Amino acid sequence: MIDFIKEVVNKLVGKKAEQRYCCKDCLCRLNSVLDGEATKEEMIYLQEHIEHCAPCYNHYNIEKSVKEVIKHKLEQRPVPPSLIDSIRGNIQKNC
Amino acid sequence: MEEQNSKTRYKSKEEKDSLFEKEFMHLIGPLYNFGYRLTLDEDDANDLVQETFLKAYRFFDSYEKGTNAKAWLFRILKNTFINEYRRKTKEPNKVDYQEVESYYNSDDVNEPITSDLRVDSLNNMIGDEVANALNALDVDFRTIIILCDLEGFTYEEMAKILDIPIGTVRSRLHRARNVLKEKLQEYAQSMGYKDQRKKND
Repeated sequence: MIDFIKEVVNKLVGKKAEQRYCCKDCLCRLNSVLDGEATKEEMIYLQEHIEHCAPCYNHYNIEKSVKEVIKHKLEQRPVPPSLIDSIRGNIQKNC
Repeated sequence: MEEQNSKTRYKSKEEKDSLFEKEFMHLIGPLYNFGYRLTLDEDDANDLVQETFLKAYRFFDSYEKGTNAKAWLFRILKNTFINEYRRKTKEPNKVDYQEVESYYNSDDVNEPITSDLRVDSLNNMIGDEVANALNALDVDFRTIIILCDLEGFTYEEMAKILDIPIGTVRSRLHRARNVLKEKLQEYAQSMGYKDQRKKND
């Protein structure tokens, strides 16, 4: 009985461990892919992985959206004209 | 005795100023915004950017013409910020990032953090809410998000700007993004409550 339980537990843990490992690999590549720093192999790996792994697919989309939100939603403050003048003034004064 | 290298060469102050103008002045916008997001104060940002350009001008000889002007200026600004402004702000006991980061650099990478953050919540957020979430980050995390996602620097460029190994760039980005997601989720949730209250009124 104990052996049977051990076997079941090992299978479950093994499966979860396998998935954890597989998703850990995916996670490591995710940032690289999003930031354009991944190798071609890493990109292919991620692409294929998210095709069959729902949690990683969701995660990928969230990360992608967060990056886009930072890039596109933050307002750029206009530079005060006085600052530009000051900088040019300082340059003229210096050698 | 003409030295044939790519270091900046000019024969007169006029020429130097013209070269400087050409290489750097168009970068005031991004630099000012970076300075503002670091200091969160208009006057401090002004001072920081002026200081940066002054240093850039003084050290113009050490700048290699045609190389990454933006990264060079950002590096100067970041260092100026650390030296001049960071001391002034109230800093909690400084975390030893090297120690934290070497831990995270190990194989013990976090699993995807399951969160309720949704793509549509993100898309519905307005600029102010995103800015608040970003500003809620510790300055080192905020910096790296700005450099990567807003300014589009590569990992290598960020490593040079921040004076850290590329491995640390990766792990710090990973950590920063996790905290940012938490903050965004908090804002998204509070938005949801506001919407709910509006509907109930």
